[in-house]
Amino acid sequence: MSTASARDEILGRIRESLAHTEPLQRAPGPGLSASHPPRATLVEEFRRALIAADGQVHRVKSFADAAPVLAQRMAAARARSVLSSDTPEIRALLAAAGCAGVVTPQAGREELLAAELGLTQVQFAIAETGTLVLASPCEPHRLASLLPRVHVAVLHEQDIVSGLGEALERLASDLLPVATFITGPSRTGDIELTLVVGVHGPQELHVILVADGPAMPPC
Amino acid sequence: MKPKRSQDFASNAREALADEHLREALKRGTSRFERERRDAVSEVPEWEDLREKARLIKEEALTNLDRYLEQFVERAEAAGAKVHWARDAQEACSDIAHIIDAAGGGTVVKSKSMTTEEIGLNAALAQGAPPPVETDLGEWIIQLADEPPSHIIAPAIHKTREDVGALFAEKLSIDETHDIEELTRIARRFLRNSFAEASVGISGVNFAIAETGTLLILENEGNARLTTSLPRVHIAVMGIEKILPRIEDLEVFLRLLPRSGTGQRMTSYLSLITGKTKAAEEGPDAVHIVILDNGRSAMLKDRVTRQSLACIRCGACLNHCPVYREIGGHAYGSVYPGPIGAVITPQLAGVEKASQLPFASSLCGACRDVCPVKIDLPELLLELRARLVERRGLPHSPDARSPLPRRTLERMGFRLWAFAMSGPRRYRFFMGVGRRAVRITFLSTILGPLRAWTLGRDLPAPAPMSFRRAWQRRRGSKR
Repeated sequence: MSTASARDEILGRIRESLAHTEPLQRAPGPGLSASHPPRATLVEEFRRALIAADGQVHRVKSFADAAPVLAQRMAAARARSVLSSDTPEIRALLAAAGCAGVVTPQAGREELLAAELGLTQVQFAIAETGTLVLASPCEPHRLASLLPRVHVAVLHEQDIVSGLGEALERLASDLLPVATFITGPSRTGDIELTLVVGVHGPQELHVILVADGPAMPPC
Repeated sequence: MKPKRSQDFASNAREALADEHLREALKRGTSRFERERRDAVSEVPEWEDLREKARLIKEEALTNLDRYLEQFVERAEAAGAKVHWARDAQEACSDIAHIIDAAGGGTVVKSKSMTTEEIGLNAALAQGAPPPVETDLGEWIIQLADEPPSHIIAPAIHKTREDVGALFAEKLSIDETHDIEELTRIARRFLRNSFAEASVGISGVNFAIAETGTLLILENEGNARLTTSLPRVHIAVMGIEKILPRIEDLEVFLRLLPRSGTGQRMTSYLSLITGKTKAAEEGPDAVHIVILDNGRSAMLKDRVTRQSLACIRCGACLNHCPVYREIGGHAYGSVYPGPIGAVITPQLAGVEKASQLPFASSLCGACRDVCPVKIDLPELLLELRARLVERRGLPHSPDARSPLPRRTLERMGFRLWAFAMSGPRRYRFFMGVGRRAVRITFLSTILGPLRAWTLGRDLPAPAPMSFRRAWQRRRGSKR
């Protein structure tokens, strides 16, 4: 491998090609979606967009009310084991829902692939598109939100932002190694462009939307 | 029908036109993409403003590309990624083979990436080892069928459920089913086994952010997420043109790309990967980024060809192209089909190898109207045509039977046209002759070079009275 010389040669070719071109300088403009509608409007917009993307929304008053919804989802999915990270909030929620078989992302691949339900918290969400943004320094989310057939995500209403611009601004302020945007279940249209959900990732996406409580506490 | 990878566009196109089955599948697919895009775009009143912003961001990124690439590499390496530069396809493939060897080999899974198709990665890696397993459903289907993709975002758009059912039954030794949900479940089951044992994952890249060293991957299935999170080694392959200057620039592109491609507001998944995760967390231990030139740097030279590098691979120009819609992707005989393929391929592979492609367009402009980054595809096609003609005359047309070279004939034709058009009397005279000549129906079949035109369509019969004559009469009767 001759990467150093390849680097110099490619950059050299680019400079040579651009030698007679005036580089375009662009002043960074204001964000595109700068509207700030009232909270109730944001929640409703988010709910509609998520349903349009084939996600399901369960609204509850407090974090404690999330446990029965989770228990219901576990029963419906006949989930014996739940894949989730090991944060205090998640632990409390799983205990309240009566879940015994918890698999953490550090488990072996076999065990990870066998989990029937994945549970994650959502750091914030985008109303315009119904998108969940998972980016936490203390909660690995990649596998729990992807491997099991059913993904249950907990989101506080306060954490809904209106558009992509705000979401990106929030992300950029403290960029983590991985951030994932999730909009609905895993889907494909590769055979006759017919929509089928659950091709590789979850077939069902349930968002437990909690009205009260603080925005996600930093960990 | 198993498509040949012939590079004779004219004969490929004729073959495709005769394939009713293929045209049915194409019509269904492209019409649906067209409808869904239209609905999604109509939700965004500032659509035109977004397109112009996107064009400017790309122009900024491309005219400062050396600087932004260096910045990207510096940030990505600071975050723990390892960067490899590849001058051409062969260097990229051998870099990737080395990384896989160093990782100890084993099962390699791959998510959808046109760039890896461009460099022929699977074939290069298959020498002495099993090839990477394609995990996007459409890509897996065509890998089983041993065919190239026929669409940028829907690689198996040319296949019906019956085709896929028969293919799975044959290749996987299972009972044949034509149920799309069942076929998808079968794919999940088989591919989960590959993921379970994969040691290396190869992905493409949609955008690379200079300011932060971040890679972005958009997808719907989740196979790219599996590919980039489960194996211990992740290799991301990107062309030099994937760079965007800043994270905030993404807003424009994330609003344009899913709507233009599949008509979605947002794809199911979007991964932002910045270097590698820390040891205690989940995710690969090593992230390699292969940055590929392969002819791209030469396209930066002038404003017209530079536009080719702004493409974000949404596929909208394919779905709206009257040529692509009839013949599909395989007829182009190139990795990138449709209008964007017709401009990229001659520049990547050399004009000699793809000399027919710039002519595979009616220049109707539908591609330019739907392009989310406002690439002037007809302008590019004309530029490439001009270069080809300057270089070696008009392209060979297998349908033309003529005693004189086509170039001479065309010159004569245009001189005659210019002469006829430059005086009202001459115009009247030649029109009169022409109208009579066209009525003699067999004429078109003996008019040598015109035969290429009448081969695919009928020469319309002229109206019984010319417009000028009708106009004169009308004015006369009014008086």
